[in-house]
Amino acid sequence: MPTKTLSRRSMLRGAAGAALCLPALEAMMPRTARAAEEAIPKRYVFTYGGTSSGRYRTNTEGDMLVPSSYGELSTVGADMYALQPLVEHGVLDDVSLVSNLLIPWGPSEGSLAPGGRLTELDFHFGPTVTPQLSGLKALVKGKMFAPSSEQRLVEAMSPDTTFSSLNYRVQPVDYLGGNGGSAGRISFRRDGDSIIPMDPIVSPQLAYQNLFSSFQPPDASPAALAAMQRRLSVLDRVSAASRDLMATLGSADRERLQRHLHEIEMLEAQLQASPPQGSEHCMMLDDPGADPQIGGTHDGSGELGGGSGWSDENRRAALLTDLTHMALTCELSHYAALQYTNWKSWMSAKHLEHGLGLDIHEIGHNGSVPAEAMGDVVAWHIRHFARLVRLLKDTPQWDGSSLLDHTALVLCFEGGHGTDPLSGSYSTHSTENMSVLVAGGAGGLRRGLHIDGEQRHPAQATLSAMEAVGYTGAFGDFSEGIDQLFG
Amino acid sequence: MRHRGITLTLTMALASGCYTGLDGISREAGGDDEGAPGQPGGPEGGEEDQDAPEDPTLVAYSGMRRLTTVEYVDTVRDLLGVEATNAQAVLPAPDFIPFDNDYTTQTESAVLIVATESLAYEVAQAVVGNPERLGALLDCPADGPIDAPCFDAFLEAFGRRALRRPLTDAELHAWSGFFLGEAEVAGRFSLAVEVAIQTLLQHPEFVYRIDSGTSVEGMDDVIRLDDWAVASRLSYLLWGTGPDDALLDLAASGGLQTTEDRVATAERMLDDERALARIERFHAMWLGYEFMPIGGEIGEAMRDETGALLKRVILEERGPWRDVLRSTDTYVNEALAEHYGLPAPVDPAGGWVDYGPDGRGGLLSHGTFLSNGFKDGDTSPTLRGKAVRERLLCQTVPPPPPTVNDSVPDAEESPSPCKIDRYAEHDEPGCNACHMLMDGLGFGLENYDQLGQFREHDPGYPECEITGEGDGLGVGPFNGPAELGLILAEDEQVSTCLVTQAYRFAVGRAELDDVDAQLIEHVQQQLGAGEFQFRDLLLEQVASPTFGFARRHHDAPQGDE
Repeated sequence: MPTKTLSRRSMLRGAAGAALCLPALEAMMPRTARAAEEAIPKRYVFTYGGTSSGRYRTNTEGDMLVPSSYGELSTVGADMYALQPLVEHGVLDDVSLVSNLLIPWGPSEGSLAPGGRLTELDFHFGPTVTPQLSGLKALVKGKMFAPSSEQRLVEAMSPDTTFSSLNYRVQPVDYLGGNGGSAGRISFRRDGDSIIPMDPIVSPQLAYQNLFSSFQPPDASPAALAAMQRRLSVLDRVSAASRDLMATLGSADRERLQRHLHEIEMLEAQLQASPPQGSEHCMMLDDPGADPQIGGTHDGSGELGGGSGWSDENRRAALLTDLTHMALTCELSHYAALQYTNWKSWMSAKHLEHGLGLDIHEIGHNGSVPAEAMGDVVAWHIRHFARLVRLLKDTPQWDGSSLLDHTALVLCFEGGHGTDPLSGSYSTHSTENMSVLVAGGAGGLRRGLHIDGEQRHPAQATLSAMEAVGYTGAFGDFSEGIDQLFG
Repeated sequence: MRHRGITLTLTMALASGCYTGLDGISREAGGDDEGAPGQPGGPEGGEEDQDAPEDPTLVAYSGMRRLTTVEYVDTVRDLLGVEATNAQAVLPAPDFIPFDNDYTTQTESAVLIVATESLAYEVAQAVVGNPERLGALLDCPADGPIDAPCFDAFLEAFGRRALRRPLTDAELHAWSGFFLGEAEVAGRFSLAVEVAIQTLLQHPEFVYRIDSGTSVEGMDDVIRLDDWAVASRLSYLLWGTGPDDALLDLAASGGLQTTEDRVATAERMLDDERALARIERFHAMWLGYEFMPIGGEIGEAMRDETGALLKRVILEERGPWRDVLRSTDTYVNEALAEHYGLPAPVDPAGGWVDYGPDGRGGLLSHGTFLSNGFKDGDTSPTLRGKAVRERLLCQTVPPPPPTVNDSVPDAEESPSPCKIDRYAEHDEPGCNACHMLMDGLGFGLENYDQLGQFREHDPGYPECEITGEGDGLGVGPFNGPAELGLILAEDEQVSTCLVTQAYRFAVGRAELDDVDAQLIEHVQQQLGAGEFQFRDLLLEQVASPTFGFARRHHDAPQGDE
């Protein structure tokens, strides 16, 4: 069944009866209809969890994720504690686990292997973020020198979508850390010679508004249409004021204001963008309402208080997952970054399976709690990842395939599980035995496998996912992915 | 019972490379040989500031500063009487290093634009939906016919407050036409107000604090701030919000042009209740309790406790700041008193109670400060000691090497379950160089758990008595927060740290250079030895001859820490 190209006044109704309509503005140009045989655009989603995948105690205890054998996950991994969400969502056969990955280390830049990290760097803000997000060596604490994977795709593929990429984060604040800025970003784009961090949207309500507010209801009144025009006029005036101000500033401030202006112009373009390609599964979601309140007691007493560990991340994850799914379905974007938790996450574990009054970072270091508690932490991330995989799997395409067949998704964790050979001691702060989940079937990705990464780099798994959606360049220091991910 | 005596000297710590003194300030040659900064151009007894600083090399860098989330909320509240409660949920989160206002880490991202727009619409709707608020802005009926002169009067007044400078005639004319035009199309006069708010709250001069002024001749990167920019500097430093009409009127009348004028204005501003909130916030971020693992009523009571102490010392008694560390009583409500094991106040809602001889004293015994160093469900003496070193003494302790497993050894699997014994491995060579800077301080506070409650033994192990004996390298022996507070109150490093952190907070940069170092030193010299008032510290910032100048950056920061 061919996809429908929407006319300016046509309407789609989803299962919930919500209607998705077109912006009815003269500035818009309707897209041409796709030919029935036209290739379905590939999508890519990079997701991230701010936790190690295992705990410090021993090499076997606390590892609830990695099966002891390689092969079909349904055979070797169906009983693994942290993989149960894949089983529950019926996507165990759609996800591959690449384990035994390694971010190597060394005392000096010259001694580093590709994508390696200087041993002197503090674990949480140095050794793993840059190598995983960009494929480059970690030489400076938390500094990025190249775009992140989905931004590389934006650069390389120049997507013709309303949003070049989406950028969301589930954990809304840093809680105890106070580093919500740098610890809460996984997207970095190129701006001339600079690499600019991209703050994510953390508010599901704001994400909803941003995705859907440009669309008019089917019975759009003249007042509603005027409101949209007014909105654009306001942005015009703000843009004009920014341009006027530019001349009075020094060079550094001018550069910053230029970026600010650029983002205003991007918003204006989004509001005036062509309607999405329609399908019966592309629908305007129900308004999620007010965001869950931010903050909760860290000690698990259940009382709300400022700055502490829980903001109903379960609901936030569900909402942002739904929005990501719908944006991909409607081709509002083909690329997305979804950060579940901050680096060194202090999100409370109170609402995880074991209900512990600790944060998930502490669980990684606390030998007094059951090993399954660490499994809960990993499983929590996988649960939300699995749900997105499931939604994509349940989104049929015109040719009988599913959207998942045309998507590559990645789930990376901040750390691995193992020892540091230099000391011989086990450490949650390990870049040994790192694992990456790769899901989807884009580009012939093999699914449902436990693959031996053979001490290759996590960035190579990400590169494979990028290649699956058509990327042909290098990713940081790497030009080869994980060959076992393809046939 | 093992005593954590410190046997190694500070010299050895220095030699080990584990001590870096005052954190991160480069002190390259510059200024006078004796270290005092050259005298920038400044007023003498009421004369106008010179148009150029005498020494242009002593003007601090200053860049475009986006309002922090808290500043945004406070500014909107003061402007329009609306609580922008959604601001934290939507605006990009800052890094706290230790303050949230470091402009070199701010980014101009898509979410900032989307969030700013969303908030502007939300606030505008809250205003026009409330007849009382609308009535406070307009001198004519908002539900009546369009009244252009009335609207223009609103726009002029609101625009001046929002952009922190008067609107130009061109702006007034153009915007009035646009806003009233929209109202006419919609047939609703109040829409003009709504759209005006939507527009001006997205205006770059609302979103950012911009140093406006005129270039100093011959010094391309130095500007002399105009009075509007000075008014903004004063209000955001002392109140954390935009300048009010009185301050803007003062700017308009040339009443901020001399150092004397600015200091007098700052003194009056410090008498305003908004100054207390700003002072409280500075301390919360500096001393590490902005994010506490304690919520609910007890957490709020703890914040009230510390706020009351700061208010009394700084604003009411106007005593030396050191009294914050030396106080022998505290402000608690009934619940918090019970929580601490202190006598209940006369008024259950709150009152001052004496600590008595129980070892508590000063801010270091507050639950706020004691919440530092929470790890694995208990206190970490290492992290608490680190908090004392880094926050109060501005000393930097490097992170453990990556070869070290920094997890707390499991009590049940250790030869002794007692924490003091489990921490003994920190005395081993290779570890002790750094740990001797921290652990001794932390163990001296160990009788107080992460909730600020007194305890006699390790949790779950009654056989593990806690003596509370501490000994900080370069600090000396003590037992409990009261004694530590008294020691630190006399330590000039604490005073220097306070001055440095206040400067960081004022300039909106964690990274300081040699110019900053000289300006800090100048403030210290003006204040004299450590018995200065916090008020005077703020006033000396304002009194700096280069307060009215700014040096522009050449390269835009990348937004990374």
